[in-house]
Amino acid sequence: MSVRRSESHIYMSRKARPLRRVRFRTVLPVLLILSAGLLVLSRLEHSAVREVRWHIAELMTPVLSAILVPLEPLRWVGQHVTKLADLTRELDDLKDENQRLRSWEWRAHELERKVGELTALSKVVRETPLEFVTVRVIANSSGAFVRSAMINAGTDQRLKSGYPVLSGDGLVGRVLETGRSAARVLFLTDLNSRIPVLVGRDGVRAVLVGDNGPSPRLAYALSGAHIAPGDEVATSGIGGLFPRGLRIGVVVETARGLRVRPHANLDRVEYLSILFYEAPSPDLAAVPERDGIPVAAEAGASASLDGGRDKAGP
Amino acid sequence: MRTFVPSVLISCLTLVSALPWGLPPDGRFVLPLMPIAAIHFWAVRDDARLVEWFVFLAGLTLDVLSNGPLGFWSAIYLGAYALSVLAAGSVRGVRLGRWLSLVGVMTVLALMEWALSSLYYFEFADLWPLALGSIAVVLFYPILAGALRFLDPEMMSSANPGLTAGGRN
Repeated sequence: MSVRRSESHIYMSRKARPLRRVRFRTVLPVLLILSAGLLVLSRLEHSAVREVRWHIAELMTPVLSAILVPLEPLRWVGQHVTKLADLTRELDDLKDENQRLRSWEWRAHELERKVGELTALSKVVRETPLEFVTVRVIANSSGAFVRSAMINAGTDQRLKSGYPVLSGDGLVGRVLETGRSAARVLFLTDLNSRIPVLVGRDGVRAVLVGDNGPSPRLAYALSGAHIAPGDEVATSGIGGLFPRGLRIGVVVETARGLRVRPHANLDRVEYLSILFYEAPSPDLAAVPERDGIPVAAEAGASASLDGGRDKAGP
Repeated sequence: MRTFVPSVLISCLTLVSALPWGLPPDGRFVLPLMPIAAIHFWAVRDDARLVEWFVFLAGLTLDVLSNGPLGFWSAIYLGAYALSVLAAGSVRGVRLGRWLSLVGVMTVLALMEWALSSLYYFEFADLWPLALGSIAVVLFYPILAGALRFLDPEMMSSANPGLTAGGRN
């Protein structure tokens, strides 16, 4: 008891105590109500909230970049400790994979030769390689709500909303919002992410739907379509938001059914590449017409049949 | 001036929890809960050194940086502050009591987080990562408390052993 009395004596005068009590009873409820109000506004996706949030986030970008510098060794240690734990399992997997890939390598060379011959025969329009910029992740989402990251590049680096974002392992998501010097990337695991994809060798069309979990699900696949664990998933290019053929992940069997495990480790991405990819459809709208038919329709049709934006990735 | 050190340290913890640490998915909830441990640390020892609106701003900053709904972490941080202040009366000066009060506060907050996130999306959120985060904070608390005490000159210079070393009743 004596300790408690002495603390009060040290830290709070008799006059200060009622003042604290009043503040606790008035200011705190007001702030709690304000928080609840902000939550409601966020749920309604009020445009003012979005703008204010983005302005503040942009102001914080230099602060976060500066903090990252002294903490770099600590982050390095943390990441390597986690990596080491996964390494043994990964080594066994890689040995198996390597054996399988050797036989595929021969097959790929054969197919490459055939594709080259067929391309020459059908006079397919060549895809122009896409530009990209590599950026750094400076902040990560935490909590149950979103799967996104903030990067240290924005409109000053010619970034636009919608640009595809990749890591060395595959597609990560797309640019959601851009400020002058910062942008937010929406991960493909986010609840709001929808990506048209092709699954497996048969190229089954589906939509990859994020649900804030580590493995997004496949939706809108044709009934009776054969999708099995181990099938590769890549972007289909339908809708024009992403180029066709960007690697995403592999189908895995989970307790909640078939899911897609992304190749990119979204929790550990540090550097990301942003593709300067514009949706092709707006360009087609501006194409001059002759007798009501776009003059470049043939070229556009052959480009879409080509389906080969595979070379687009960095 | 007395509020300066707690404010700076809580700000640092908030900013650090927004950085990309490469944690596994279930570990995402641990870092945003660290400022709660700091809020509890000062609230149970001397709540006059914490300012309510600052606690609110710390939560709001994390909401902005993590791109979560505005008001979520500020409500959670204010909840932590309120619960810690209410618990302070009965545990002040008792080291084990303070730690036990943190267990209670974290339990209530985990449920509050779960309820808020479920309500926000109109579907049941996963309770496991929230519980895991809370357990991690409770276990990590003695180390964090030691570090905060070390960084707080007022606590280090205090002649009262009840404040600096957890009390001897």
